[in-house]
Amino acid sequence: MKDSNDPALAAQRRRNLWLGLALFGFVVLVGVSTAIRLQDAALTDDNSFYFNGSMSVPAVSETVLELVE
Amino acid sequence: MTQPDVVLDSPERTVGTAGDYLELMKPRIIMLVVFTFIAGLVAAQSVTGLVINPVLAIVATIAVSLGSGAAGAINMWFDADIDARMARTATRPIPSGAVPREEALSLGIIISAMSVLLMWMASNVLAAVILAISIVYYGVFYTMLLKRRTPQNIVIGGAAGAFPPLIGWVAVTGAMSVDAWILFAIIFFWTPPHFWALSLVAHKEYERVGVPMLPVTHGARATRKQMLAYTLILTPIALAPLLTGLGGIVYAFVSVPVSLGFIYFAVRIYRSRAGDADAGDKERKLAMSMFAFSILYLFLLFAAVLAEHGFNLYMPVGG
Repeated sequence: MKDSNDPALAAQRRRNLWLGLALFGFVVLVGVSTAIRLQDAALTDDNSFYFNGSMSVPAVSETVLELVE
Repeated sequence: MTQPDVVLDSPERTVGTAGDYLELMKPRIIMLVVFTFIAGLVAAQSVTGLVINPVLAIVATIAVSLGSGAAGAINMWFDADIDARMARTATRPIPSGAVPREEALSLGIIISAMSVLLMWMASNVLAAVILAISIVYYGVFYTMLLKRRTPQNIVIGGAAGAFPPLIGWVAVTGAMSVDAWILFAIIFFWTPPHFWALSLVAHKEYERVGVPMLPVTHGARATRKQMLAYTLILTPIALAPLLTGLGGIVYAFVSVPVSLGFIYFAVRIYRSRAGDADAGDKERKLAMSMFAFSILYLFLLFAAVLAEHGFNLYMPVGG
């Protein structure tokens, strides 16, 4: 078992802490970026950030016409 | 791909700190990258009228700094063998034993991916692609292919450092423009005289480790001549923003005197014996003065762009 006062072990713990904080920071940045992009996105347009299951008006019209024909 | 031909001596392991890992990412280069990126980003908003969400701009800035750091870590991983044998670089984290070599590579690859992903999320796919290209350009093309093979290494490799303002511009507009390419070209043509000024002083170290820097392969005289040539090519490019409207009165007041100053140093270097075998302390100081001035030169040019477009100081030349 390693000595808890071992400088190498202490340094490794500090590095792990920094690594954890960095990963947390990355997750926060991705989350914040996604939230802002979603807020700004026009989700019903063809250039939607994500497909939300609804179609744009021209696409709906074409589909209806095809069904009528 | 040229593999390092010298096996790195197993350095005595020291206790690596978070600071060592930060050092691995070349923080001074990151500062320059971030500065020129922000200049491109701010100028693009002012010139085109397009805006980017301030939070996304911050995320994009973090992404570009991570990308720069990742490329720096990959560079240090590959160059560890020669770094260990040069006085200027022997204290870097890998040669000093603070960071294991394989960890540097892992860090570089993982952070590269994270930075490109972040840039894509914060701006657009084109900015992310250019960031990815710039990382590969520096980490692979320059470091692994050019640096140990050709004396034109830093001429071609200089493009790696020129990408940040272009990425900043594209992050806002989603497209490239003449102004963005001018900012790119300023850094591209600035790199050779900047780096060769240092090479004139450190060429013996490069020679010892087998890196074919221009003073090593073609001599100091040819290097001084090339430095003058690149400085003269750089001057009209540095003044070009005045023609396109990117630069206004403030830029004119800054760029004209610093360009003349840069030419002054290049001419003095050209007429000196800097880098020659019999060069003395005076020549060494002159080369280092030009190196220092070149950093100030680039900083002032981009600071002028930033001041005009970020702080509403823009007044067009000629009213």
